[in-house]
Amino acid sequence: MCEQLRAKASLLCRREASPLVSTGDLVSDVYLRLRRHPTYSVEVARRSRLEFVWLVTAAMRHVLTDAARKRHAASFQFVPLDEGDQAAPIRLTPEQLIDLDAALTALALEHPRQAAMITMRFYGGLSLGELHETWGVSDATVSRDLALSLKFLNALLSPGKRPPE
Amino acid sequence: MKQSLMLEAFDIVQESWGLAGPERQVVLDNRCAGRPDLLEAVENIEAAPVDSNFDEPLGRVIEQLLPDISRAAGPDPLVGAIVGPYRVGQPLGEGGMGRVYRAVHLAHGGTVAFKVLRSRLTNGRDRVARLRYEANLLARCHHAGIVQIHHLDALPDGGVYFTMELVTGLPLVDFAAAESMTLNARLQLFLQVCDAVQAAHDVGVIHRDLKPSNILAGRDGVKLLDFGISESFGDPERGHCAYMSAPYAAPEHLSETTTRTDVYSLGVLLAELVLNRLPFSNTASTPASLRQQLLEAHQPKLRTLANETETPWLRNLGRLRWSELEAICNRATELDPALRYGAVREMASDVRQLLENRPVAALRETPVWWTTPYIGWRLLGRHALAAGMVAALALLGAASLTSYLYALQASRTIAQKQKHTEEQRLRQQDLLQSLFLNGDGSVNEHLMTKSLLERAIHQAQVIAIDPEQKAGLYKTFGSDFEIVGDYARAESLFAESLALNTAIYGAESPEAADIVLQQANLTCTEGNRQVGVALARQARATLERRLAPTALPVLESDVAEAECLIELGNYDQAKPLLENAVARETSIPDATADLSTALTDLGNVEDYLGHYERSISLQEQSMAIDRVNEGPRHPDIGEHLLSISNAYIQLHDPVEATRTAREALDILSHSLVPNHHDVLAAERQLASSLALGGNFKEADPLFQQALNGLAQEPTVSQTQATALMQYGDSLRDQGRLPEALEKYQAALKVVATLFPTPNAFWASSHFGIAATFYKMGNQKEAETSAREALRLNTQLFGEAHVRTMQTQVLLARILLRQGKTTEAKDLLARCKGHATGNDAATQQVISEANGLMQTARLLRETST
Repeated sequence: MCEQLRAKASLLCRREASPLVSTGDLVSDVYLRLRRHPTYSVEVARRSRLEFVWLVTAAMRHVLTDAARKRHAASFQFVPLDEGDQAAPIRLTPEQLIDLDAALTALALEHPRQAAMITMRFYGGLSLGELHETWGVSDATVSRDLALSLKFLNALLSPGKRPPE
Repeated sequence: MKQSLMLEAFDIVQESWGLAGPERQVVLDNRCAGRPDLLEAVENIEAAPVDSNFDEPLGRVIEQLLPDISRAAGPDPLVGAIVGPYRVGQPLGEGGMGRVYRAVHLAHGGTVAFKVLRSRLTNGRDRVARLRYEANLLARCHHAGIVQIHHLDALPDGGVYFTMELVTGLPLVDFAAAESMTLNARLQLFLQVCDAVQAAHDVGVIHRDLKPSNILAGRDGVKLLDFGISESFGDPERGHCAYMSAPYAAPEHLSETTTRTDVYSLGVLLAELVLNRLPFSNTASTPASLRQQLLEAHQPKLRTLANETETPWLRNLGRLRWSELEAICNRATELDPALRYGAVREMASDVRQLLENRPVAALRETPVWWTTPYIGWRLLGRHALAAGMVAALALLGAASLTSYLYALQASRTIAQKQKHTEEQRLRQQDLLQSLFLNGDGSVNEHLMTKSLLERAIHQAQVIAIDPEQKAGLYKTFGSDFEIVGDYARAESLFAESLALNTAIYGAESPEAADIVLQQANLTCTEGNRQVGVALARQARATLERRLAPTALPVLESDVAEAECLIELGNYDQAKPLLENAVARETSIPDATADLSTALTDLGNVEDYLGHYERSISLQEQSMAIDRVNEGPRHPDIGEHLLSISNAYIQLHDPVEATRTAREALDILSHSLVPNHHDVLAAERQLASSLALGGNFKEADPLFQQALNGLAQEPTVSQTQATALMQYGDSLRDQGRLPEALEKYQAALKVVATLFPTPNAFWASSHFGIAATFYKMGNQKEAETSAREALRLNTQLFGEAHVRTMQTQVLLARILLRQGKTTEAKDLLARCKGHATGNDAATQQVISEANGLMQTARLLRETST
């Protein structure tokens, strides 16, 4: 599996010039990053789902933010993992990605759970049910956390109101 | 805007979100005093949309990376696989019974939700059959609040999958929380759920696993998922609770589920929706221990559970409202099913009463009903003026007021109760009847229907205590057993029903005659047609003594007699009875359903008599009635269209035949599950219409598809025989004679299994064989078969029938080929001599006969 991932990761490097990012490729990159992370181990993953999910999604966030910083000119288009999917790709500018990263960092200072939930949802694709399971809080709390955090991010990141970097 | 300011504002939003106006104002005043910029930031956040790119996951990283952290089992083999007509995509979620995936239909590209159900202990095929049955029933109720199942099949590994529309929305309770709903909005939402559950109950499907995560809510309303899944997937050794969500499961869930089981779940759900939490602490690890907990501390005081800081919508809720809410939840979650609401409809009605500030029925059995001026409060309290009057009257004399209200309420209760019993009776019958609407297909369905029926009878013996109701139910069950082919059981039920009705109303009563009519129908179906006719006449005589000859029951007995006569082949005798019924029923406004039946029967008679144009017009009239009564896309409409298309084939009109068959197939394949017998029949009909028009390219694969489907059925059927014959016709027209012959011979075999005594089907098979041998040049074999066909047709339909005439012409052709000119000429002369009709089919036979006469004459001349 690791060999496969390495091959995929190198593919991602070759595609540097392309604005099209496949999440499948990102996954490989995230996996490599995780392997280098000091606290990551399969044991951790088994012991605490919360910790594992957090590590993976945080890694995903870093990979993406890094990529955004390196390529300021292009816009990112995220192709859903399964190819048969009809859903339109999600388009984000590098600025949006960098701003989101900054906003989440700020949010995490005061409201770590809310920031982590958005991270897990957006970068990790966790469903509401999974968030509820991962955090052990009620569904209603998850919904409320997500709804309010999204309002906050939208208010903060809407055009013309970019936070000072 | 500064980030730090926004963060500060976010803190305030967190605190004030969901609070009612004044309380929110207090928080804002405290926190934002002298800080207009902060207030602006708060308002900015609150006004910001929830919809966001950031709520769109970039991908399923977790799934991709280590798909089985908890299961430690390697990647999911289904992702990316092609199953049936679908390509399975990423998982969307997981429940107790299996996973849900996104999937794409390979042919038309639509995205659906693809759910896999697994259970080690039961057999996949049985479950597919059962789930299909229920999916089919649900499809008939066309309720926007019920997610429809598109496709259902077994997986190679024994699991079962089905696909349904992809629904977006939040679980019910979460949606209410996310929208910060008021209590009334929550109750309205709950009513939508009740409405959907009731619609399913009306067609005989019990959900059995109602819980917030099975109910998705969005701005467009609620959608219920997974109807009827849990029982068929229950683990029999551990009871159904193996997959049932314990907090929502009624105590009887382990043994027997009824609609009241869903009422229980709805009770828990209502409490949860109101409180935003379960009405009890769910610390139990197993369903059994939870059950124990519930038994010990049943029916909590909801009010004591409300946490007002977390549930602002419950603030300032009066004591009375609390009592009402509690009464409704408690009534629904009674441990004894008999004490619960009898139907979801009743529970919904109480919630509606609550919303409209009217008396709640659930409170009637509680002390509140009489100890507080409850009724007065509720009956009159919704009008401020009336409330003032109550107060004034109370000052004048509390006692008189109470007695007045008591009398008022008592009269209402009696009236309601009478109405209620009648409604309940009708409802029971409707529900039971609809349970078996589908029981006309394969033996599997019959067996399933029978077991359902046994269950229903068992329940009915408990429900229906008074003999009158019992008689009605036995009658219903009897006809249901008749539908599924258990005639002995049907007979004994009718006999019991008749005995009951005779005891109550007397032997000469219309009620008893009604059962005799049922017996007449049954006897006729069983094959004892003469006795059937006699019974129908006996019933008619009884009815006529009591009722006018134009009364509906009398006409019904005529139709019953006519149906027996049709079975006997006495179309000429059946016709006037039916014509009379049609003429009378046309003028009775409420008799549209009976009129439709009579029109269909009459249409069939005309079809048998070879009057195809007349038959089409009658079927169209009947269809027009059913379109209004049952909806334009009800399966019955499809059936009508099939009959019409068939008549067009007899009239050699491929264009109209194809058009109607296509419409029928469209309706049936959308309202029934794939490979349903009727869908296959429609495919057969379309194929045959296309072949008649010479479109063999489209017809042949359709024939094969229909025949393959029919071969899968456990028993042979008329449809299969007809399909084989029509495919034979198509092959013969294409010149593929050996194949055609093979089909006819196969058809004859099926026919011989179906009908021990030769009938029209036998005749048609022989006709086909004769026509094929004729084309092959084997005149000897052709003659034998043609003579057999002619003998049967003459015996069955008489000489004047178009089928007999067609056979005469064929035989004449065969004889001419063999040089037997004299006999051929005689036959043709007889054929022409008998021709009476002036319809298209007869005209065509006549012109063919004339052509042959000409040939015969020429042959005669050359030979001399």
